[in-house]
This record gives sequence, C-alpha cells and structure tokens, in this order.
Amino acid sequence: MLKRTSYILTTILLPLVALLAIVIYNLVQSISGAPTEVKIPKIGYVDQVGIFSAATNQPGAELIPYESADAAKADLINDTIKEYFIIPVDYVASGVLERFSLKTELEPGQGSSTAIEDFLIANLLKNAVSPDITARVQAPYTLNNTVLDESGNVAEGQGGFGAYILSYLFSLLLLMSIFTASGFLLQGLVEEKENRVMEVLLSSVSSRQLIAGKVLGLGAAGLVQIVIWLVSYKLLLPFASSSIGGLFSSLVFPPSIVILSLIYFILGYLLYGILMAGVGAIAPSAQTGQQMSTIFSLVAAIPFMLMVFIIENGDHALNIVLSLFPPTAPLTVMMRLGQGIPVWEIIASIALLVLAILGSLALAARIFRTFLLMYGKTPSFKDIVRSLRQA
Amino acid sequence: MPAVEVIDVVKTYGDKNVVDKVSFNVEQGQILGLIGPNGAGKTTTIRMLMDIIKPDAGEVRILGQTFGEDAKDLVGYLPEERGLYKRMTVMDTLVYFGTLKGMTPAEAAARAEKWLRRVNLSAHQRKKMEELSHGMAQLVQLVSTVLHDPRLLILDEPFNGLDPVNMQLVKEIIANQRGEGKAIILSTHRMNEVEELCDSVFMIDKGEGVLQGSLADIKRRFRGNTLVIESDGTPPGNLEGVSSVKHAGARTEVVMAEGTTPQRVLEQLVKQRVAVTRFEVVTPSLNDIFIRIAGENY
Repeated sequence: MLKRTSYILTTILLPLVALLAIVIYNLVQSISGAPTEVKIPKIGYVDQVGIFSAATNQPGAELIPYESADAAKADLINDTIKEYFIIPVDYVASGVLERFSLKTELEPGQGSSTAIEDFLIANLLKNAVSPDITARVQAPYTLNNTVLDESGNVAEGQGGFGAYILSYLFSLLLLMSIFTASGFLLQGLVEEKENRVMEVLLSSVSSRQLIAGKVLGLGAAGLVQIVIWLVSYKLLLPFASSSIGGLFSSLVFPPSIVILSLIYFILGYLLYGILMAGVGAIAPSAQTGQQMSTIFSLVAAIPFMLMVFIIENGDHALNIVLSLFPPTAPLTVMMRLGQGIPVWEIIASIALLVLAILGSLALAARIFRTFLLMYGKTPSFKDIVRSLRQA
Repeated sequence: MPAVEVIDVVKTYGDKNVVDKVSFNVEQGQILGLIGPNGAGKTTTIRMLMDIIKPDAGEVRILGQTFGEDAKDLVGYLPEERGLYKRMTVMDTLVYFGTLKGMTPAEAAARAEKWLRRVNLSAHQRKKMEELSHGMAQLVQLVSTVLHDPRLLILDEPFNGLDPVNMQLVKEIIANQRGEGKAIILSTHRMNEVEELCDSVFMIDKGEGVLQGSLADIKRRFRGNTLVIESDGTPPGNLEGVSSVKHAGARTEVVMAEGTTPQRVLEQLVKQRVAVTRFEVVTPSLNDIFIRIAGENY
C-alpha cells in the first residue's frame, strides 16, 4: 500500500496544499503592502428626545447625528451611512427605536446592535453614574471557568475550544481512516482474489494471520500518514498567518486526552478494519465490496451525525449506550473526552471494544476460510450464517 | 514414515459430500499423480492438504504430525492458476514469498538468484511480472514453490502454458526434487506426464477415490487378454488356450482364453520355430484407464 500512488498523493498532498495556501496568502499580503485600514461603518441617528449626543465613537461603529429623518435617508441612499435609526420622543418610556437600512436581513448585525446598545446605555447613564459603572453595565462580566473533579481539585479536562477541536480532529481522522483504509483493504483483497495470489498466501499463512497482517499493515500505513500530517502541521504553523496560527498554537491538548484518543483511534480502526476484511472476503468485486461496506461506514458515522448532541449532553443515556456499543464507542468517547467522562465508562468501553475485535477476528477468519476462494459468486446471508454455524 | 497421510477425509458443502472418505499416502522420494475429471474434488482435496480449508472429518498428516499452521513451511504449493502480483518485479515476488515461508530476505534473494539461473530467467529478475510471458510467469511460480526447499510439493497443472523446452526443464526439476527425497503430489489432466513421472496414482471421481496404487500395479490390473505378435511373416500354427487368432502380413493378434498366460503362448511360438520380432501384451494407457473409469461413473 505504501507504494500506491493514491496513498503517496494523499499523504503528501494535504501538507502541500496547506503550504501552498500559506505561500499564496503571504504573497498576496506582500504585494498589497500593509494591511488596509479597517473601515468603521457609519450609523446615522435622529435624536427626537434630545439627550443622545455623547459616546458617538463606539468600537464597532461611528454614530452620526442627523437633524431630520429625511437628511439621514438621503445619506443612506448615497451610501454615506449604512443604516440609520430614529430615537422617538417616547423612547425612554417605550424603548422602541425605528431602524432603516437598504438591505433585507434576517436580523440586524451583531456589530450594529452592540454599537447602538452601548451608545444608548452611555448616554442614558452619563449623568447618573461614573464612567466605570457605565462600562460595567455595558459588559457586566467576563467568565473564567474552572472545572473541579470529584475530590475538589482542578480537573485535568477543562473542556473549552481545545478539547472540542481535539475531539473533532480525532473523530474526523478515524472516520477518514475507516473510509480510506477500508477502500484499500477491499481493493487489495479483491485484487488478490482475482489474480489468485490469495491461494498462494493461504498456503503460507492462516486466514487469521492474513487478516491480522493486512489490517495491521494498513493501520500502520494509516498511522504513518497521520504522523506525517501532524508533523507537517507543527512545521507549517509558524508560517501561517498570525490570526490562524495564533488560534491553533493556543490550543492545549492534555496528555491523558491525547493518549486515550490514540487508544480509541487504534481500537476503532482495528474493529472496522477486521469487519471490512470480512466484507472483502465475501465480495466478488471491489465495487460490490464498497456497496456492502456502506452499512459499516454508516454505523461508524452515527456519532459524527450526533456530534452536537453528544458534546452538549455529557451523561445522557444515549451517550452512555453509544460509548459502550463497540462500533460507535471510539468516536463517541473521543467526542466526550474533552467534556469529561466517567472512568468506569472508559474501562468498560475499552474492554468491550477489545472483546469485539477478538470476536470479529474469529468470525472474519471463518468467513475468509469459507468464502475467500469462492470466485465470482456472492454468498447469500443464509450461506454466511450456515458457514459460521458449521465452523 | 509416509510424507503425507490422508486418512478418511470428508468435506461437505450443504448436503453434498464434495470429498467423501478419501485416503491415500505419499512416500518420501515419490511422486503421486492426483487425477480425476473436472469437478471431481481434486482442488478441494488439495486445499485440505494445504490447510486452506478444514476437513469436516478425517485427518491429514505431514511427516507424522497433524497438518496445522506449523507444517505450512514444509509444503510448497503451485496453484493451477498463476497467483502473482502483476506490478511486482520477479525478484521482489520471490523474496516476498520466500519470507512468507520463514526465510530471511537475504537468504530468499540468494536462493532466488540460483533458481532463476536454473530456469534461465536471470536476465528478467528486475522485470515486472506483467512483462513476462505466460510460460515465464509459470517458471517464476514454480521457483516460488521450491525456493524454501519444502519437504512436500503440491503441483497443480505445472505444465500449463509451457513450450516443449520449458516443459522438459520442469520435468527435470520435478525429477530432481524427487531425487532429493521430496514427496510430490502432481495434479494434472496430462496422463502421459503422469505415466512419465509418477510412481503411484490416486484417481478421484465424484468426491470418492476410485483408483489407487502404483502405476505398474494399475496397468497390470487393467491389462487386457490380447497379444500382439510380429514375426517374419510365417503364421503361427495351432495355439492352445487362445480363443481367436487374426493374422495379417507380419502381424498376428491373439486373444487369450481365460486362464492362459502370455508365457504359455510364447512357449508354443518358440516350439513352432516362429521367428518372433515383437511380442507384446496389449496394456491400456493411463489415458484409456482414466476414460474407462470416468466413463463408467459418468
């Protein structure tokens, strides 16, 4: 597999594309010179109350006073301002503003809303409280969150963006590995069946050794690919733009989460690799094999489809079931690791996964033995069940 | 101790006994011809011999031990259809198969070079398998079978696709392997090759053993009661113990009566002073025997 063009291309292409993107971005930056000045949007307003004249320079917008709605409307149409609002005479009692813009929108942009809100608060409180209190009213709190474990100490997994990213990244890598490696596995097995190499191989090794060898070989190749990607990520990070580079370099991956993610990654890959090998033994052609393997791919993808639910509902019964059920365990547990998951669930799910791997290896070996040398015919489900019973 | 003992082996698929209580032995330094019509159960028998599929009953013993994973390195298997990686080079292929049989890559490469010289393919060792002719690929497959110096060789149609020169070469290699004490099972439809190379024959039909024994014994068993005599043209006189005599030119065909031996007929010819230039007990070829048995079971 290591010599396959598609494998080499996939392995090298991803870092190369990232490098190319960085080079192009930096090139564009150097050609266009210094970053252009950020244009602060202008928002017009008509104050019919007569108390709103201060704090017109907000971080997200500059507020321009107008004597009349018509003057504001004229400037809106000739693009001097992006929108305007009217503060009616009864505003203090009603709290209602009239807003006008040229664009249809789902709701006003966050920047405009915040700027108008801060502008109104600053003016309403300017004679009542100190500027510090006004600022606190505008931004009442910044939350510093700390997760404690059951003994009251600071827990290792603190959740947050890094944990989400790690869960997402490993889940995505496992899913990609399952899809790509199983494709290679199926293709390889079907080719070896077609060119009769399989018969020669089985005269030298047992069917169990053959499956284990193929799955481990492809798994090692998959890990090499991931290691190359991770090393390239580390090497390319310093060259990335400050905004993206800063975001990624600020991520903290706790060692326990990394190790557990790797364990689940390997166990998950082994389980699906063995199942796919079983499919490869039955399938008469690569195309049929891909169709037959769709069921496993779908099962593998269930936690990915439920990702938001899984991450937001820590100990929900469905999460526990998905964490213990071997085919969905790797992805589900990886997703929950960042948020914290009871130790017993981790131990139980690893034990069940190992049992499932050994069980599927034994079953796949039997299927191999019976169907691998059956050329040009797809056995029925009944045939498979019968052969497993007889074996 | 026989090199191979197949004892009452049974393989059933569904309700059908594909192989039914088959038993035979192969001695060391001997070649057994495994013959039978298409679909008779030869391939299933071979796969059970190779431990690729497990028998439902019975046992296969190699050099006295029950055949299992440990015994696989003792066997070299040449399948009927070529099983080679098309995009691998000849040398890489041989080294790969050698290492599967427990050799180190260096050892496998050294032996591969020696064997490629033997089959005149040294110049092709860096070529990909897909660049070789069918006959050349067949020779590479044979080399991969004998590379690890196995004690038992199972050769399924080894002469397929070979020209007469290479066919002779393969026959010599097979004969040499026998000379080195290897036990060989030769499965083929070419009866003349079986007659030329094999010490014994096992014929399977509809999953059952229908013919077994040394080639000489089998021929004796199927020998007819017809004699062909060639002489100087003098017709033989009255012969006792014969049921009919046909004479034409220098050739006389005599059918012996029940209980008469060729020796008794020859003695009478000598007494009659017939100048015998040829005296032959007509024996059927293995091909005739095969057709006769397979035809009876058809």
